[in-house]
Amino acid sequence: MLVSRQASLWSACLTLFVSAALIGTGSILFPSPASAQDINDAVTFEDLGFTQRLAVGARPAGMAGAYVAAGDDVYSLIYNPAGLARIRRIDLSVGFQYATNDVKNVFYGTSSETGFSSTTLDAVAIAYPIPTYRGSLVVAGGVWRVMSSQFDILNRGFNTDTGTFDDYLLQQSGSVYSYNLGFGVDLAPELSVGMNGFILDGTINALTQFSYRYPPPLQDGEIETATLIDDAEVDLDGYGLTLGLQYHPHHLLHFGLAVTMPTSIDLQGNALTEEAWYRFNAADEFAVDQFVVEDDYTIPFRVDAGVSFTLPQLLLSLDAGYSDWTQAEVNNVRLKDENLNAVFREVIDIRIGGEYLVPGTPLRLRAGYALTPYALDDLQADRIEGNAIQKAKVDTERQTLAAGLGVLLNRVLTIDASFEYQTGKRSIATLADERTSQRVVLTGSYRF
Amino acid sequence: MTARRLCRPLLIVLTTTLAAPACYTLIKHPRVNTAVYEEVQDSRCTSCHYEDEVWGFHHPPAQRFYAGEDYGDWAFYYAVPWWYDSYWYFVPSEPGTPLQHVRDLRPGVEKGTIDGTTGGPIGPPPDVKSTGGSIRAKDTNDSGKAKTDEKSDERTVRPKSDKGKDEAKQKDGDKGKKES
Repeated sequence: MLVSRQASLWSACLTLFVSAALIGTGSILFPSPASAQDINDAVTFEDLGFTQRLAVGARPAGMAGAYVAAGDDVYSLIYNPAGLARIRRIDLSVGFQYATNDVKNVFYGTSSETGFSSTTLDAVAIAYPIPTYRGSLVVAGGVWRVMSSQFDILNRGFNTDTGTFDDYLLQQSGSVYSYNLGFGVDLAPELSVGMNGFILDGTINALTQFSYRYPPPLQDGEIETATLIDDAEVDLDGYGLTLGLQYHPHHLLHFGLAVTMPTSIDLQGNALTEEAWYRFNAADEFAVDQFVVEDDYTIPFRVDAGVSFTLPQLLLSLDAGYSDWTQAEVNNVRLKDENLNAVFREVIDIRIGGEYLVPGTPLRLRAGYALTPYALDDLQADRIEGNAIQKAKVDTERQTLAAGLGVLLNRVLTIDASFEYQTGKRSIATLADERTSQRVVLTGSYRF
Repeated sequence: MTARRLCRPLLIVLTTTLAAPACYTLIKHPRVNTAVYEEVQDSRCTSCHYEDEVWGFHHPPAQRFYAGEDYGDWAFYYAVPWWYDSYWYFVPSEPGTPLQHVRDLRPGVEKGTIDGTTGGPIGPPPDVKSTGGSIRAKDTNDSGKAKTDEKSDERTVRPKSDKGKDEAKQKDGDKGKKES
């Protein structure tokens, strides 16, 4: 009657623990297929925020991140380090971001909604142009918030597949910061290259609570309600490398290319799990356990290419990024379903941005649009069970509208602000998943 | 993912980028025994210097900025290398305008004119030996009305027109043989 109910976040460990607990209590265990484990890992991959890069810096964010060819400041270190070679003055930049996120789920016909906000550091970075007689050589370093692990989700309703009232809640907080060091150099008057080596660091806290309740009639000794509280804290470490190139065949035309090597992320931490089984006309059972979390995630290669045009008072930029997420790995294993089809997919995202310099003023206005399809091809309705997995139907592809402005003060200080609105919706027969977010980035850059 | 997978591309890129700047980007000026204005025509010099800009170097300010001409404060923000001690900046004059207006892009310094009759002080450009370049000639004019800084009695601007160039050459010749 009873099947294994596993938490999604630290699924590998929890599966073992729950299985052992259930076996110990004499319950019948129906082990999940290996593919369910993979989809759990894939869902966790997305929950942790590893499948989406944030647009850092108010100026790039105001152009929806279309900065591979247009980048000409310290933020080029992230988007395309070759753009560093366009910097002529020492550039110090500091930024903060404020974000709100909403997740609206329809779980087996029942709607739930969660929302949260966060205020964090966005960037601290400096670029130093080395004096040259010809060409350009610029070194830069900085800390950026490149991924957000802030995530809340609530799945609540009657699960018709298991015949239980399910209540699944995940509250997760944390950010992934990237510590970068790189340079850009001119190889020719029209050609620049650059490199950025980065180390990822962060702490993620995840509180998972779920319960499932069987409706009557029940026989004596059967589980009436089971609950689980899993509190985990993990440290995140990773590293990677980005190589970039910018080509300027004409002063009105610029091309950019950036390749990010596979990024390795290591999660290590501890989790405390408390479980309770309330039985019908029988003694209740409780269990507390502590275990170690240790997982390796690999974000696959990413290639970004862009072109930008500089017209009088106007900058237009178009970027496209490709990443084959089927090469994503968890613990050196690619994630596939029961038919050995990848649960991730290849993704091409498009970013378009523009910047208008208001004549005779120190003001610049920006706007942008980004289409960033989901890397995860499947959706999982039953996070407790680690089940009800289907290929997702994309109702609204994830996309971002951006706007921003910047002002130059006293020739040396720019203050930039951006606003982004992102939305996307996927669904399967038993779950609709709609996510929206709004983000404001404020950046100040001083040129010495 | 292992570190080994990163090593190969890292080594290739490092080798390339460390070797490549020697081909184009220069952080040390080549040794030159004598250099007067006329010798700028020498290919050794013109590979780096503009034809009409002896003391400037290839740092095209507008090439990678917006298209167009005058971007005022933005030009300082984006285009003027921080190690340039001189911030003189040409603003193209209208045909028939008696004076070429020159802006000092340093923060807090008022606009001046080429003869220093108005605006803030016009200082002498630094020695090329120490700065590796001092003058940014952003554009040229067709009037040929080259004006030089009388107060400083130094080279400040050189227009492209022959007449202006002749005047500049003469002044350069007077001062000549400063650059090594």
